[in-house]
Amino acid sequence: MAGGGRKMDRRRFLINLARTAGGVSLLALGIGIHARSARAIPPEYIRPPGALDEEEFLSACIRCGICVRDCPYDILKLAELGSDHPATGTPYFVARTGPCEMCEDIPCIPNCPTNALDHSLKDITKAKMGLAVLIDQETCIAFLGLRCEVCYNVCPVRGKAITLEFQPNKRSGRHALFIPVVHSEHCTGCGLCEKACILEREAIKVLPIRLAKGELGRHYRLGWEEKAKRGGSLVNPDRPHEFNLPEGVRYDYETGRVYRVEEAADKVGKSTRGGKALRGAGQGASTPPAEQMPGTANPLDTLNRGLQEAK
Amino acid sequence: MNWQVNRRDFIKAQAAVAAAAMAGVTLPASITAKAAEDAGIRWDKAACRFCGTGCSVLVGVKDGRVVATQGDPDAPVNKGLNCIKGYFLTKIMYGADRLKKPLLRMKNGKFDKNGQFQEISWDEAFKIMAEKFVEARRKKGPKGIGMFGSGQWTIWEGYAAQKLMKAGFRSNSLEPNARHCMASAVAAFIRGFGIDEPAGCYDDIEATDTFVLWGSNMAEMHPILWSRVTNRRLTHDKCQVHVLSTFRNRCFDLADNGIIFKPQTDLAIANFIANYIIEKGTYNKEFVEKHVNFNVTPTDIGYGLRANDPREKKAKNRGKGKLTKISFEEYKKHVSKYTVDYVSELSGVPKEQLIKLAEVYADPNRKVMSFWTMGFNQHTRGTWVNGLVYNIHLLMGKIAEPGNSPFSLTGQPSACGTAREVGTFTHRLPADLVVKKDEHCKFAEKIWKLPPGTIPRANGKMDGKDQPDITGKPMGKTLIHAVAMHRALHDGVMNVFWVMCNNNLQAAANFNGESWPGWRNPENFIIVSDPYPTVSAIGADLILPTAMWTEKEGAYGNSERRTQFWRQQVKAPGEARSDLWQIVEFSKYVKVDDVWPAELLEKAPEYKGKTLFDVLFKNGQVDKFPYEGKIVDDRGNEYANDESEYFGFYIQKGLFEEYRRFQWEGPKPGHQMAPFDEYHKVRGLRWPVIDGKETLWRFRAGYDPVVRQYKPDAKDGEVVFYGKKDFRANIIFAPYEPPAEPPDDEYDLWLATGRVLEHWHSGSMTRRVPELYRAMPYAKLYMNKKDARKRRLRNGSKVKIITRRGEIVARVETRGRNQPPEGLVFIPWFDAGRLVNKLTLDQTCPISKETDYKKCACKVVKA
Repeated sequence: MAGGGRKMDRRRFLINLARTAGGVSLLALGIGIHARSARAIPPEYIRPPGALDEEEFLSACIRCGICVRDCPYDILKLAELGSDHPATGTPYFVARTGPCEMCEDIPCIPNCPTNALDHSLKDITKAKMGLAVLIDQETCIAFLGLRCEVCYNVCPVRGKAITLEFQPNKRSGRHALFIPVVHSEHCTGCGLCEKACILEREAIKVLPIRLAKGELGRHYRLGWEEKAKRGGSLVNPDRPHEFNLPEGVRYDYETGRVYRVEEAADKVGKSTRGGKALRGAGQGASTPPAEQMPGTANPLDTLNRGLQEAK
Repeated sequence: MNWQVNRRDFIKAQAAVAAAAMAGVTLPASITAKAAEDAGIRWDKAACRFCGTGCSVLVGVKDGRVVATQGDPDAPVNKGLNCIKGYFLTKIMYGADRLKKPLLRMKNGKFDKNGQFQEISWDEAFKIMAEKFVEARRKKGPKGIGMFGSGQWTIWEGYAAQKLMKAGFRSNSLEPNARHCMASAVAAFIRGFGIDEPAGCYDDIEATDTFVLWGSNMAEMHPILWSRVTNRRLTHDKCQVHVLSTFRNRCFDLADNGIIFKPQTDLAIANFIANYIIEKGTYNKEFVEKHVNFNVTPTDIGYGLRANDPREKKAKNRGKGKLTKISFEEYKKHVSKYTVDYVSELSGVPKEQLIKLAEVYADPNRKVMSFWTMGFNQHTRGTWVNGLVYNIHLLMGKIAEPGNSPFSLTGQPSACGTAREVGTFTHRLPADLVVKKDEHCKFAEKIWKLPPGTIPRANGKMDGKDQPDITGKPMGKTLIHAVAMHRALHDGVMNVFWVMCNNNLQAAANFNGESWPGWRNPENFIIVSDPYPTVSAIGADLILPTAMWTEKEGAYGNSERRTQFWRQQVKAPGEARSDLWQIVEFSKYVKVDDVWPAELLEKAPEYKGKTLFDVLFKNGQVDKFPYEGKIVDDRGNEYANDESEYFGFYIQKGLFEEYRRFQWEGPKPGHQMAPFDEYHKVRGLRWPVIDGKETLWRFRAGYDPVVRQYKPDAKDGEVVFYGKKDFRANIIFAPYEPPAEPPDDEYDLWLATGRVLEHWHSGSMTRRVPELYRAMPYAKLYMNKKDARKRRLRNGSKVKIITRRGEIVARVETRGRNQPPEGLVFIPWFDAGRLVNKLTLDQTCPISKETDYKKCACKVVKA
């Protein structure tokens, strides 16, 4: 039931068992057996960074609440009783209301007594809490050509986890589309994008990796990736081609474009121009503790209280 | 509201539901609910409330409330699109804390500067205002009172304010927040071309080969225009994008040449390009010989600080800008100093990047569109640096034709339409006239049916003689710009200040040193007209609740000279009233005799005992058009017009038609607009509009009908810069000069301030939209990772940002959308909880008087 390759799971499970073989293991195992019957965690709940795969996590977590205590932004919660909740007493967060702020020092992990939150995770950008999926391209206003890009702007793995692909807007004929694209290699599943999505119901959601990722058939390889991995062609590199052309005319083999020699300077470095996707810089977000949004109080109180500044 | 249309829509929606039911189909509950929701929505057009792009939207009203909007698919600017601010227009008027009653600071039932705000009636509000205005005007002269308006005022609001202050109160103390926004652009237009606003239009975007952004983060600040730039870059093979900024911003995502330069060295880079073009010999000799004069401007002109500042004392030519003609050879010599080696060293920009940039301008076969906004305008050499880019375009003749376009982008929705075209500045009158010129004032007095000498001249003299004043003293010098207004309040020289349609206490530089002490000075009475309890409202003594956007009939003019109208769609809440109503109704509370001296009244004895309302607005022109009790559109829909209803005549039309006389009968043709009623029928028109035809490219015969008004024999395609008497534009050499407050050992970082995509200006509207608040709740300090590490900070650390003037607390953002180089930090100013202008220096361009918010020294320490 857990995401990722099976082998990996098994290995980590074994390592984990070894680690937790000390004093707490029996207790943990006991709770684990009970918890397993409580089914998988519902998809809208996300485990803290470094959490083992769900089944192992449930075995390892002793419901001590230390990670919840250590979360400086108070976004981690302990599950309460209820059939649509995560297993009682285990830590979770809900991205739409309180996403992980991706603290650089990951304070929720070091005091975890059982390694249910993996102590070997030292770099928060390597966390895999889930995967953001732009799940509804029909309502995401970026696909409609509106200038939003809020998810891209708040993404803390700047310019890597979410990039924008620019495409011409064929409907208007004079504007561009700024399409957000999530890259699973870099997305940590923190959920800042889900929280920030300005739609009434978010179009981008963090899902458990098991629900979010497809898997390619093992019988096929992507040629351009294999070539890049190898650093060159897998079989004999192509020889330079020559062409029959009139005087003063050149042909660019890469783009298939014919041009006159005097235009050459302009074409250099432009050969991939066409629909090339441009990747941009992103933005991290670290939301300070809650302040009151303007527009919620009685205006007379606001006015008579005077200036209210961040301390 | 049109009953039939509503009914038809309703029936249609019902029919869909009924048909589905007949076919045995169960429509999802959400569809049936939507059908009922959409039935009976009345749609009408309006201009977006936010930036200078000027997108058009359709506003949907049902049961007296704006329930939905949509991008207007028929609007050429945005073709149905909006940015994320425009997407939430529906919500900006409905914050839970809208102000609905006038509020006065009171103790024991009386006004008290230190009292608590209490509700009063409009009548009480205007009475105390009139008392304070008249007293200050009589005691302190024309600069004793002040009004601070906005590039977000509708056209007629600006025009009414212009009349109230300059003609009614006989005071030139009228300024818009646009002074902080595009005054440098205006000064450069007037110096270079003798007439304001760009020669080109947005259609240049689809016609050009090259975009060069000089200090403009269009990707966030003009989102829909940026979408057009991006599309051009994607679909036009030859297209290049060059971006210059002092830090990496989102425009760099599209850049072929992203240039980060040291603050202030844009002056040197622009001169390098001119030098490169001349050395290469590709400049357009014919164009230069026929259409250009060469000039030099005085140097060492100071920084617009108070006169006692050591930097001002040291300046040899403080505030000077008089041009001296030079030859091409002399100009060539001036720019020859700006070699690639020198400029690369000074600016920190690699030579290859500078040459790549210069090459796009120098290539005669490549079209170039240059854009700039606040990076250029908010600059202690803003007038100069605007001019330096015109120099490049003029040398190449790349101007006033499709795709070749030096384009000054304006920030606000009607900085052009209201502040600039109506001229709500201390020195201006409508249609590019100025109070410095006696004949311009006399023309305005004629149009306004006022005795000659009513409007204060800049130097207080008419026909060489002192103008008399109600103080009993001669009028004296009358000009006072925005930054000087705050200084005058601070010093108690100005005692009454009315702020409308902007949040100047949050927006103006040096909050601790000038603004706050000025506003809270016990001698002063501050009035703020505002829909919400903003920082400015908190600093006020009297707050007037204000109707906003489509709660009134309005008109805006965008960056490309496009004028757009809208009708009143809904009623304002409670007793909130539009700025127009406030200005005009207040004029009933002041008698001419209280503010005009007897000598002036003698020239117009019929005005004795009359109110300013009688003289200014019930003058047979403004009240000329009857109001029929409703406004009806071409589809038969009906709308209210609360101001016209109240005053008994179609006041917006009367004001606009009187204003149009400045354009059509004035001494400087070139700003002509179409009749009032036309604009309600179209998606905006780009002026000059003559015989119903818009003008896309100015100054070129055939494209611009005004050319032949000045030069009847001009041949098609001929360029005539008719703003200048000899029809020649000015190339103006100005050198690099250092900034006012560079970092030093203690204050070791550059501080630049600005905006973000999600929020409009001070956030008073957008921060009240929950979704936008959630997307970007607070201002963060964007910082380079290395600078953070050096200070033992990391992403999210709480820090104090400290300058010589104040400190604020914010959190560090090292992985954000803006990536400053080492040595510079950036913070947006939208956040009322972090008053960024406690930090900034009230330095200005000494010529345009526009504040430089982009460059002062700060330090950052852990909080």
